[in-house]
Amino acid sequence: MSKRYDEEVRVERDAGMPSAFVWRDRRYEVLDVIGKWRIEGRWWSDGRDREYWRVEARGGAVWDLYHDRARGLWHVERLWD
Amino acid sequence: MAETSPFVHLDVRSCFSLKEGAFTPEQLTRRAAELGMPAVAMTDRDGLYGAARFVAACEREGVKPLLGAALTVRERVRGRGRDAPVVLLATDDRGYANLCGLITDAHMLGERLDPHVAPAQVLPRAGGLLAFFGPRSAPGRMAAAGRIDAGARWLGPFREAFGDRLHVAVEHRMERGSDEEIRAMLRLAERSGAKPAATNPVRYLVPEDAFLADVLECMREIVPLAQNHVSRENAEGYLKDAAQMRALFSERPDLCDATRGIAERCSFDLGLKRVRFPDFPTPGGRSADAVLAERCWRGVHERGLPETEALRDRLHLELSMIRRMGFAAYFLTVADIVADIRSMGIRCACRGSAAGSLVCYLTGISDVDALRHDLAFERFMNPMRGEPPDIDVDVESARREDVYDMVLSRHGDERAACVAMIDTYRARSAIREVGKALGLPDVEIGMVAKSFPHISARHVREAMERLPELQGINLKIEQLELLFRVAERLDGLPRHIALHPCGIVLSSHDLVERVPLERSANGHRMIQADKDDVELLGYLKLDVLGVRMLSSMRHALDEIARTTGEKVDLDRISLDDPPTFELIRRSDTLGCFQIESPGQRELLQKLQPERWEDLIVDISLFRPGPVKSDMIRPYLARRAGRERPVYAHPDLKPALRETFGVIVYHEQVIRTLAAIAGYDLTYADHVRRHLDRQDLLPAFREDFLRRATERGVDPGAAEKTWSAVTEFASFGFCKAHAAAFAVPTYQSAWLKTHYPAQFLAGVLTHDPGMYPRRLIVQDARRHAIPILPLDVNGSEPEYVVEKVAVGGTPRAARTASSGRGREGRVPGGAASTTRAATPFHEGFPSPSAASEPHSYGIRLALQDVHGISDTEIRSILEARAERPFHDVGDFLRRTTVSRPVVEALAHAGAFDALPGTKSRRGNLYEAMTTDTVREAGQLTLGLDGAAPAHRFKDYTDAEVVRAELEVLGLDATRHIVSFYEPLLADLGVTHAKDLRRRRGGERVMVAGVKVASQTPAIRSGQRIIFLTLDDATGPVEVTVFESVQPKVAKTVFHSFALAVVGELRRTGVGGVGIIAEDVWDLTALHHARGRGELREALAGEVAEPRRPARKLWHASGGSAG
Repeated sequence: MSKRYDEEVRVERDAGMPSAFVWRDRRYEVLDVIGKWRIEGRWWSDGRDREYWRVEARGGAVWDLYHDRARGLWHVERLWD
Repeated sequence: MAETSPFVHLDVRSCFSLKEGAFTPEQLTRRAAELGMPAVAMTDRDGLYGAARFVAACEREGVKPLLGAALTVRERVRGRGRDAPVVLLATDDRGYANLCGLITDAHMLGERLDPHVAPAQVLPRAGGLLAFFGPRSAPGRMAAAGRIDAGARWLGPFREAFGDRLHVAVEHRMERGSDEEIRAMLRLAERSGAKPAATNPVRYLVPEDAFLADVLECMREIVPLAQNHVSRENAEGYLKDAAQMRALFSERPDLCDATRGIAERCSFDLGLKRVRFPDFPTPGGRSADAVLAERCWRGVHERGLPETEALRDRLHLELSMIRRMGFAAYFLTVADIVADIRSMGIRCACRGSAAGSLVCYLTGISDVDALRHDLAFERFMNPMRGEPPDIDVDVESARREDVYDMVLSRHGDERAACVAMIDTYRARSAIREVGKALGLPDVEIGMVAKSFPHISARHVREAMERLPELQGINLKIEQLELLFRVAERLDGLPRHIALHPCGIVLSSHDLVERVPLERSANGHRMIQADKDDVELLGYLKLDVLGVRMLSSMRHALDEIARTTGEKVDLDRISLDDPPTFELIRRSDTLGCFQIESPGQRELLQKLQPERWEDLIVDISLFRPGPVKSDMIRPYLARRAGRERPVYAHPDLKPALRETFGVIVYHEQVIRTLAAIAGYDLTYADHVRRHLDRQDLLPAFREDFLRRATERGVDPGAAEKTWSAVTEFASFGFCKAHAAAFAVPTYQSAWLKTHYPAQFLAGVLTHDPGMYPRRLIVQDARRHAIPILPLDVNGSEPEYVVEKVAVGGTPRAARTASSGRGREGRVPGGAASTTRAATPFHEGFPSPSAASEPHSYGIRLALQDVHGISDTEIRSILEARAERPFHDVGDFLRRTTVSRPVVEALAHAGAFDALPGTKSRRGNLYEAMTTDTVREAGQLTLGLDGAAPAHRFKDYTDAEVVRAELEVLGLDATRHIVSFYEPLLADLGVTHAKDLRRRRGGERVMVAGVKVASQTPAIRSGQRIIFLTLDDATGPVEVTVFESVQPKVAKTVFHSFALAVVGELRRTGVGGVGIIAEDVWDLTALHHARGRGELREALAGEVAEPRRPARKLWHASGGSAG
């Protein structure tokens, strides 16, 4: 089952890749990076520039995190558990 | 970090993939060079438009160009066409020829603007081509959908045809799902035996430009910009450097390595700048040079030239240069084409520097004797020029298409084609299209586009505050800034590919192997190359320009033949005809070629031409440069004998004697340099061409002075000569060019002198000049040529002349009109010479007899009736060929003319001369009310009885003129200003003809109909309005500066007749002008006068009467220009 969120997270990086993140006061360690993509556009309205990371965290859940490059903030968008 | 191994981009679409790629070939190569790429491909959609520019740019930047295209392959899938691209790259000559052939087929075999090929069409042309099937190709899509086997099966025939030149393009677009797609494509490659290679679909050069791709896509699809209309998900479609590409494919570096091997495999060289001569089949294996020499000698006899030493030397010089440079076949081809044009009965004139060639004169290409007029061949053809000579031929504008058809069909499918023209975005068009894509309202966008075409995004705020007409606009500043930010980036990108208005490329049979062909909107074969590309590709071209004056003169000649039976051969008239020069000297030259503008007429009066050669000087001098640089004054003073000719050195006399020591022509610059420094003419022309190069100038100067000193020239004189040369070189004019122009100039003046009615009928028909038709009508009236009213039984499609009794009424007008035109002339058909037998046939009057202006009038033409179509005109001609119309009802029943046009005809008096007419208002009533459903047969008794019982008031004179303006766009019966004469007298207006007698600085009032207004962009940023008023005695030039515009702008723009008070200013050769201080609407003053309130109206104390603007005056300004 996947759940959608749009909440800020704090991400720790290692060699550019997310190594861990803190969400709702809990720290999740990243075991593996499954995928990476970018979404950019809508410059005529809100404008967005996001770098997505699909990661597997300790415990087996898969998370979609994105880095809002314009604001420099990380978000969690989706969780499969 | 170790240096990254190179990567070569193979899927790159430039701006020549219209509305898709966001960069030019030059920008692409510069960026590729910046990124240190050894090679880069350009693969535009179904075209090689940018190929020549791309290769030239690559040569400059030191990047290897890979030439290819993305071909649209169309398949029928479940009854519907589905398009998918395949990228093809040429490895060698054969591959490039195949690519050109495929693109040509894609464009020529289907509908225009829908290029595509079937998969099977590609297979036989696989030789020398590499093929790349990516994720958007048919097999790629199958693979991505999990149908690897189906994809591989699809590729089977291609594997067979292309062998090891078949590739699968693997993309990493960094989208969600890219990983899966890559895996699928790799499996497809493995299964099909195609070699995989890494690519990136490049549509912009840097990620910041991705927004352009969105705008272009929405403009292409004509949809507003919105997420669901934009296909890109991110900004990864840019020209990534090698490190970025290799990082994306870090697991499979071999995919990136493959691109280098591919680049090495492509060895095709487009071979720029190598001249490709046209084929010219010569008899019996003789050389083109021999045939050309023989033709020239034949020309010597045909032109009746004496075989002098000078002629032999000159001919020898030209022929040996032509032989050395290999151009004989080109001259022969052009000479044949010109002869063909003439044999079609089409007037034709050579323009430009080609007139400086004796060979051109002898082979009939030009009509100017280069030897007699001392024109330099080196100005035309010169081995140091680095560009092939270009011959321009003017033909009748109305027959240009016929000429194209003839040339293209005579020179075969493979050897001749039209040149394309790349229509680029200008600020205005970009604003409109971007505005539409951004979903902004049309009306506002139109206002913005019109108001400031030159503004940049940074200055939007400022402009919005400054321009009053934009104050109330319903757009946010932010929207406008976005609009301008995007529009600015489109500026200069190609918008669509059009037919070049004049270029025809003449080539050997290999043309189609180096340039693809497509069809222009009117069906001509057109190459995918513009005129600059043609030059880069080394093809020779012939420019065929349509010139309205030639059509006007043709019409005049036809009318002369029809009305007098006389066959005038304009090419054999005397070149020193005194009455013609009298006309020119009194500057009675309205309608004449090149010499009709106010400034030109002023110059003619000062220059007082006496010989044909004087026209060459006149045309050369009348350009902004000479006028501004005060080069006219010394010339005129010396010519008039007020000053003595001055020569910096006696050796300059031969070159400068004809212009009294003033350098006027390019040819004189060349000869001056040669005379002082001893250069040969070839090198002297090379120096002349580069006199605008500030970087080269010091070296040129030094060399010139040194060589002058060596030859014993006084240093002071040499220095003086050099400064005169550099000063005037940029203004100098090519004498050959002016001489070529002087031919039609003189011919038109000759026609106006001896056959003014026929000549002006031609001018009215083809509208060749700068003035509106009504001014030409006014000119006819000044020459006592009656303007005969529109008449459904007498008017022809064009303006024709009719013999009239002295006094101005048509002599036996009815007979006249029933005696000709009965065979039903078709609009546009110029073959009126067939009507030999006319009632006017009264022998061959001498030109002097024809100069009795009273004998011919000009009949107004059907072509200028507002809203009338060619079909309607044809139906009128056909119906009256059976029998003349006898009333409006008869006309309505026997023609297919639409009701509004019939009303317009009645309103303009076209039925007034009909036997059944009682009054024009009655005709108009009938035109509006007659029931045409009734059978024509019932009404043949002529007793239609439809005339209403009541009597109608006649049109007043003013109504008559107003109707003419509304329907024809010209005041035919009398000048509109004549109605205001009492007012003008009260106002103390100075007429145009009297202005020259007033002193500069005087305050005068002028009045007239506004015939032209211009508001050019001025460097200072000021807006200046230039107006031309016409008051029946001539034109008046008025300038309105910004300081008075708040007060007068509205009146200036919205009134059609104006009174202006201002300061009279003498403006050099431009004559006299008025600097406006105040402006009134003449009609408003007229009404005020009627009420006895003129004084108040002048003082601005009377509220403007509310009356609708006469919009028809503007709406029907004659035919489209």
